[in-house]
Amino acid sequence: MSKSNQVLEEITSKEYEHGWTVNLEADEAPMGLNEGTVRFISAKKGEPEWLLEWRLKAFRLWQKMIEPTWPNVTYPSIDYQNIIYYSAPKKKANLNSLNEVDPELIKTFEKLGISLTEQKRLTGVAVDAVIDSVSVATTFKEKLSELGIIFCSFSEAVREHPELIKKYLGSVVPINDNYFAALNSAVFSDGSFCYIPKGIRCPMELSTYFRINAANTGQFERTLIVADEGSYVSYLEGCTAPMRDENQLHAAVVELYTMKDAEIKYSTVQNWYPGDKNGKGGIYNFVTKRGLCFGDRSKISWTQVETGSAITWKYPSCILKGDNSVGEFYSVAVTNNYQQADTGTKMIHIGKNTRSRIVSKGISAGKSQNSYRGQVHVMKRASNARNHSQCDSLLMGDQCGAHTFPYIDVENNSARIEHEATTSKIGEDQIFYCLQRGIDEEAAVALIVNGYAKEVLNQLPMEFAVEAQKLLALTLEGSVG
Amino acid sequence: MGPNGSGKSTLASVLAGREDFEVTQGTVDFLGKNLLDLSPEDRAREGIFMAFQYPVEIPGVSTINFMKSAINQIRTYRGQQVLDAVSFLQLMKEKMKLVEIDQSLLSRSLNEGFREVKRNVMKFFRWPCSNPSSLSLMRQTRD
Ligand SMILES: Nc1ncnc2c1ncn2[C@@H]1O[C@H](COP(=O)(O)OP(=O)(O)OP(=O)(O)O)[C@@H](O)[C@H]1O
Ligand SMILES: [Mg+2]
Repeated sequence: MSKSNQVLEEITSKEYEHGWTVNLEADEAPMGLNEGTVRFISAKKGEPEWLLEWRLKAFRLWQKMIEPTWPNVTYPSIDYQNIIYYSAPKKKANLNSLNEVDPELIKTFEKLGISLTEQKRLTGVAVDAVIDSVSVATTFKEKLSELGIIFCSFSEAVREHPELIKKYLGSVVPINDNYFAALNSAVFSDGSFCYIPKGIRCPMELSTYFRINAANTGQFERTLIVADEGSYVSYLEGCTAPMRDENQLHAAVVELYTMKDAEIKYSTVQNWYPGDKNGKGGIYNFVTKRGLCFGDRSKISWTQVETGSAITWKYPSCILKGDNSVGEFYSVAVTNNYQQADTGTKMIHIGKNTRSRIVSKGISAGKSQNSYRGQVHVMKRASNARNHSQCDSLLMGDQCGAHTFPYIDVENNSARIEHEATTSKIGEDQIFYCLQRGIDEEAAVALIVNGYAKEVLNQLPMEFAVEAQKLLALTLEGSVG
Repeated sequence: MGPNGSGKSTLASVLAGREDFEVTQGTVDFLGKNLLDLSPEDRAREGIFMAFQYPVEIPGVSTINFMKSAINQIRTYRGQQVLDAVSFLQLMKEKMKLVEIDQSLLSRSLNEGFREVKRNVMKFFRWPCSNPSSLSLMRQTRD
């Protein structure tokens, strides 16, 4: 056999072995999910062998897992073979001016108070040279790298910082953690990586950077943030502008890792398409978010404003491993029309003197269902653990539902756990009082709802707090009376 | 202005535009307009002010924020310029002197946890600020 024939033979038999030909020219993976899909994605991204193996391991585990049925949501079963798991990032349509954009969308932008530049960026309108977003982003990047901060796409991190990725990927959310995390681990397309070195306080909200550098949110996003000893970072994901996506299923994984004396503040504003008034369409959002307070005195704080998606399944959690570490969860979850949300948090106290705080504000309107599900677990070793949970529900109208599922497991007698819960309705009295002072109904609802959610909104970075307030009002427009 | 049970609270609610009541006949002429044709908020903007004996609590909404919303919506209706934060605060200070109110009350949540006395002070305070053209003051009891 000639040498070239031998090579050919090897290659073809290899292909046979996997039953799959990787067509790297294709922009999309063929529909469906098998090992070949995983190999395609990994090859497409030029990943090292170890990462491919990691993905394959996740895929094999996923195959043996079953989709969870415990969340308080109902949806038609998902056909995982009827999904395209990878397609090359498409450029947004390049429009010449905002006049070419759907006027409804522009109206929404205006109501949210989103600046003209940003409106253009979000809709893909070319921005004038003076405020060229690319150059601003580059300036940010330079500033960050001067401090040794790494902030880049996940793929870039795999190429440039493989040792960090190898060490921390899956260290907080193991590949077999749950059905959707396993799926994500097998097929994630891209995401963000952030590393803050020892003793560095990140001088800017990483949101600022994000908002300029169009976040190309994929279907299976992967985020990893590592804060080294004594460092601090505030990170904001998402935006208030409504987000549409042709992919119905979203399963992201976010891992946060804090070492001694480090702090990560992670804020989310989620406004994915929730479906129409009759509950048709909308995104299914199955997210795994978890932070590990690995070092002593470290802190992780989650803040989320959830207004979008047809189905939200999401429990940003903290594992309080280091002694004296602190976990926080602040959440506003709004559901309207036929939306369903099952969201909350887990606080796992492992270290001594660990503290956690949960503030959850649910708002249900229309025919929606809104559930808070939270777990506080104090392990044996966690002496003097403290938790305070406050779970409030606000109902608008009489066709929606609010549910609370708190789970408390305490294995150490010195723990102190407090749980408060309230359910209220926007009273006709409150609305009438506002009307009688000259405030119209829409503004009245906005005032009342934002007052109710204030404790959570106060946790957001300033510029977002203002937008988030408007977003809440907008989401609930017309749901009273 | 009438013996018990003669209909004072009911009349006030009807004038202010509460939906629980149906006016079967008649009109209410107010400065040349038929009040019954107006929405409750427009009646307020025209100058109908109802003092609630038990002001409603709205948790998390500061008095100052509430008043700014109210005053600016009234001003817009009346074709006046909307007040910015600075001129609004100035107006507040003037009016607060008038009724001798402590500034710290402004940042508190609207009527939340107020004892009766303070509530009464606050409700009268809101009156000069919103400049009503008429005042219907009655001791409204919760039925
Ligand atoms: N125009 C009306 N037609 C029919 N029923 C009325 C009318 N006005 C008042 N009522 C009824 O009369 C009762 C007493 O009215 P209301 O409570 O307004 O009186 P009031 O003067 O405020 O009494 P009080 O001095 O005890 O506060 C209520 O049940 C109310 O529904
Ligand atoms: Mg009365």
